[in-house]
Amino acid sequence: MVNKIKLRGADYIVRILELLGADEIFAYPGGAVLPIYDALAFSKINYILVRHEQAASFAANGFARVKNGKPGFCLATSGPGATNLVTGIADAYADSVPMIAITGQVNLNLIGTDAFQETDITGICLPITKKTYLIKNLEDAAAIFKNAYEISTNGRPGPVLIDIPRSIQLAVIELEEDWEKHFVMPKKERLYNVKPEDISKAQELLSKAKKPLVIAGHGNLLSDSWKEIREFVKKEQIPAISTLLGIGVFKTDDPLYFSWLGMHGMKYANIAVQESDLIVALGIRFDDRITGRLKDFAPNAKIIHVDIDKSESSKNVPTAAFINADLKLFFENFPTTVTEENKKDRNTWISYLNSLREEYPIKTVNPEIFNMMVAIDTLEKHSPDDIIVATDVGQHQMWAGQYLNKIEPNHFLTSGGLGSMGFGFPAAMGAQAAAPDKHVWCITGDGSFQMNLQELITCVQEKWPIKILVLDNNYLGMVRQWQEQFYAGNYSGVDILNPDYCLLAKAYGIESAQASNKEELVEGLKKAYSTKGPFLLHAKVLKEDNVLPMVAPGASLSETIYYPSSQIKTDTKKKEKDAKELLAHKM
Amino acid sequence: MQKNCWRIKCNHTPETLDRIMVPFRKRGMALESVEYKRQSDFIAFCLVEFDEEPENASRILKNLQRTVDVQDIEILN
Repeated sequence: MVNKIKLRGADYIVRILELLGADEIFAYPGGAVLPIYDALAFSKINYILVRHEQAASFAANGFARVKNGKPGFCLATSGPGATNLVTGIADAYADSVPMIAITGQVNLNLIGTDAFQETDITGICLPITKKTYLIKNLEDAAAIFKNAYEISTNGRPGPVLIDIPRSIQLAVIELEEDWEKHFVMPKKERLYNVKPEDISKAQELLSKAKKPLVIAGHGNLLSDSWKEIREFVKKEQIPAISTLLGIGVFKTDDPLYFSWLGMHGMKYANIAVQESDLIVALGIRFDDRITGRLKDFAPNAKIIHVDIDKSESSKNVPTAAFINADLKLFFENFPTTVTEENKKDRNTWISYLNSLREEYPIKTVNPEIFNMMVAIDTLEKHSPDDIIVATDVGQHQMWAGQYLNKIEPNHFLTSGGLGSMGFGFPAAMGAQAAAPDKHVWCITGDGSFQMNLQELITCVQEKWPIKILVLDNNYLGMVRQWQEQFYAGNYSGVDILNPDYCLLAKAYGIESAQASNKEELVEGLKKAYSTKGPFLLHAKVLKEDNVLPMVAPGASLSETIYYPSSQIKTDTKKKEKDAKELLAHKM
Repeated sequence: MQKNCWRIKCNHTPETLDRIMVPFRKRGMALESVEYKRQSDFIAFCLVEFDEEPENASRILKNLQRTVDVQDIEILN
């Protein structure tokens, strides 16, 4: 006979979280989660007090990406606490990041009375989650949490939301004393929903192709298959490129890797797509930032698409063969296609791409001027090989993608699908929580940083040694660039006034340095690495600069703009003027 | 415009019907008819009728396929 015990709902839920391996929860308290906080006080879970719930959901995202395979957890109270999580939840949905968001709700009997801090958060999150739950019976809690965990991490990962009324947290459940022994952790099932004819069709297409090209996306990181894809392209002798979120899948010095494609990707990668006769798309979703004008995307290519989500089959581009599988299993099961005959074609194709790479390299147009490119390049040159970088959104994000060349898998955290400014700093916090021994950098712009800079004090409180590089051009740079290029230079709402970031850092008790040139930046980097705690490096960079290469919105990848010589000339004069202004500003 | 009639086999959950509506609502579409019926403890069927061009209907189909609780979609038109 097993003894019975009674547990308060909040204690039961916190214990379930412990059993699910939720070591860290990014959270903010409030009335509707007070019982859970009461239980957390006696738990081994490290619950991190963020300063805004949006940071909790972004941090959970960063945590999950670095942990790879485990979901990130975030917790907020009902009403505004819950709605503040929403952007981070939408971000995780757009980038397929596993996350379990937990919200407090008003008492069950008050739902629908427009009670204080009542909001229909399950309804709000419906389009941006894989699944939402409202716990109505405490007896269902364990099953709901396990189901949520399984759904979040299995298949195409994504966020789920569990809404827990306060009355449920205060209810009492009777359990068998040894209930925890019977708690079965949800398993990760690797999907392989493939017919033999799908494989043979793909095999035939690949063996006959003369110009095959692999495009690797975030799916390779999510399925933990970067080793397999590196071996695959080497064995097959197929050149490969990646998406922005696929940065890290390949080592940049891999001779078969031709960097990343898309709106601000490499011109040679874009040309490769347009000239390829067979694209092997692995864990990508063909979003508009990589395809350019859809009808002109890869005009000569048939497409083999391998993805864990069957709804991606021919969603944006028609596929000749779709393979619905986890990439790890795909690589295990896909036969070799390389022959003596097609090897010659593939080698010719690779030689051609190498010539394109030489013809269209990434250029720092005016390396003598202190701009974002120089700053990011300098950061990398003075950093160890395995730093984790979280970026915000804007010009600096694209340049970080272009100039960081030592990125390990799951070490480049960026908001790709949703493009959320304010993502970078909290994501860096999540990364640091997931990897306490790693150097974590947040590379941010002056616009993005101001969206979540309240988290500086969270870093101090948690003793996280995160380093922040604020690239300050006194502009919302990407918007300004588009206004210059597509709105006749009519700058509107982009001239952003900044606080004194070093004084701000001081107010938070954070060490800092300012840099207005490369030498000062190098000194600042040395200081950053020798500082045990968090560090803010404020780089005042060239005010007006454009991210290139670029595919204009609505244009084809074939129309990638590449540092036009006339523009370089014009820009040089303009930049010289800017540089003088910057110097005057500094003095 | 093409008449579309789909029979959706789905898990019967509190949010299933709302989730089925999402791809239509987010396009600003109004449905001609919806009939949701529970068949067993965990399974329900939802019949939707709507007017849409084939290309858009195909995208809606993809969006529905991404829904966790949607098991199968039978195109009846």
